[in-house]
Amino acid sequence: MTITKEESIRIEKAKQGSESDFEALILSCQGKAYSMAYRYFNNPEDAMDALQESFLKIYRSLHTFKGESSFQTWVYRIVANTCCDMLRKKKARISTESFIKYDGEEEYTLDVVDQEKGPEEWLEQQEMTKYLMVCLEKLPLEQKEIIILRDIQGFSYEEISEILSIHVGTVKSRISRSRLKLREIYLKGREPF
Amino acid sequence: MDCKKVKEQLPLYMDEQLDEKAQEEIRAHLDSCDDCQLVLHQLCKMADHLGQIPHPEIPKEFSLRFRRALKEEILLGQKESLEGHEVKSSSRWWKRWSVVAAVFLVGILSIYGFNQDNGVPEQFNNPQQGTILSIERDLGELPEEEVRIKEGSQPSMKDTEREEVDFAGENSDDLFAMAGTMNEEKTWQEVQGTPEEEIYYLEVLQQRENRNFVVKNSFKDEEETWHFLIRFEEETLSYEGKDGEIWISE
Repeated sequence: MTITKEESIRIEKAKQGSESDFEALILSCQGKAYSMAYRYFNNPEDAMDALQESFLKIYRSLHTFKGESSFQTWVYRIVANTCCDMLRKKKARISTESFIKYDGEEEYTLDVVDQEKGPEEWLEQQEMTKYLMVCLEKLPLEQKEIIILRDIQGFSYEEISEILSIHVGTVKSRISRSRLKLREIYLKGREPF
Repeated sequence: MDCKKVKEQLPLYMDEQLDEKAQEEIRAHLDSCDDCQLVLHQLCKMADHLGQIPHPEIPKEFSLRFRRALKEEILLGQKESLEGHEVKSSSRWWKRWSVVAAVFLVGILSIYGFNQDNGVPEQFNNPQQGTILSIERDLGELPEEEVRIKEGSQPSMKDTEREEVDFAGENSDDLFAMAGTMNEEKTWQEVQGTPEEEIYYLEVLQQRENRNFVVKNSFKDEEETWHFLIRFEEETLSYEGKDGEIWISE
């Protein structure tokens, strides 16, 4: 992720107080940022609260952005920090009920769109996805976070290193431990794959 | 390579994140080990499923909601600016505390200086709870050493930054202790041995950041909130925390 010329101009204008440029910058990454926040909380209300708080923090501290990472990475770092902080404050391990509750509602569905799969396979896949999310909630926050970033959001190891401000080596060891732990939790409550 | 070691490395093997030699060794092991093959299959299947979870769309109401919050933020900033109040910033806040620490130090040194000359007012000979310490001192008769220290502290002692502080300690040792706490930079290891609570919060912070840092300042305020000024290699951040939590202060 690098900074484009256009983005760089927008950042400078936003730093000088241009509201529209700030909004345009935010718009370029708000979809992924929301998706990330949603995975921490598993409900749209908390995800929106976290996102709003993150964006206001970004507005307040835009002048500190030096371009050492891409703007998006910087945004995702603030979103990740804000989500963690909010979760810690609430001391809430979000119940898996909330995840299942939103299944089928307008703004969110668990359906995995894959036209090439038959109905049975499709159902099986949906079941497994639901169950995996239940297992994910049983992980410590640090491990849940890295699974969200790597396996759900698909960030590279280097991007995760920048987002979490940790070395790539730490990313590797954390991913390794988290995946093995998730598998262990998965197998405890379910027949083997 | 035994199965235990292979299994530990499979989560990185599947992302090709091991070095070439380790990748090759595991590949060779997998050719002849059904158990490890099964673990790899399970890990890959889990990751595949997680990767296929659809991304939720951002609710339409968010845009309006955020725009409103942003307007409020901007208006608040303008209002504070008009009223002549600076937006509270952690750097200014910490600066204030460093001034407080400087006041303590000057106060202490002044006490010693006056003691030597038998010219110290009673309240400074024996500071009691509630004594107000001020940097407004006549240093004309102080020994050279104390004067030098005052001059060295000049940048934080301009009239506009003068602070008066309630001193709640029993004696001048307490003053030294407080001033020291506010001025010293400590490494993570050096923090060990300070009060239990402080260690707890710093452990939380270290787990969260997972990188080396220096504690530039730390203390607990009247509302039982811990404050930490932490310097990482390239940046300085302040944290505050209450009831077992730590978050980045605004």
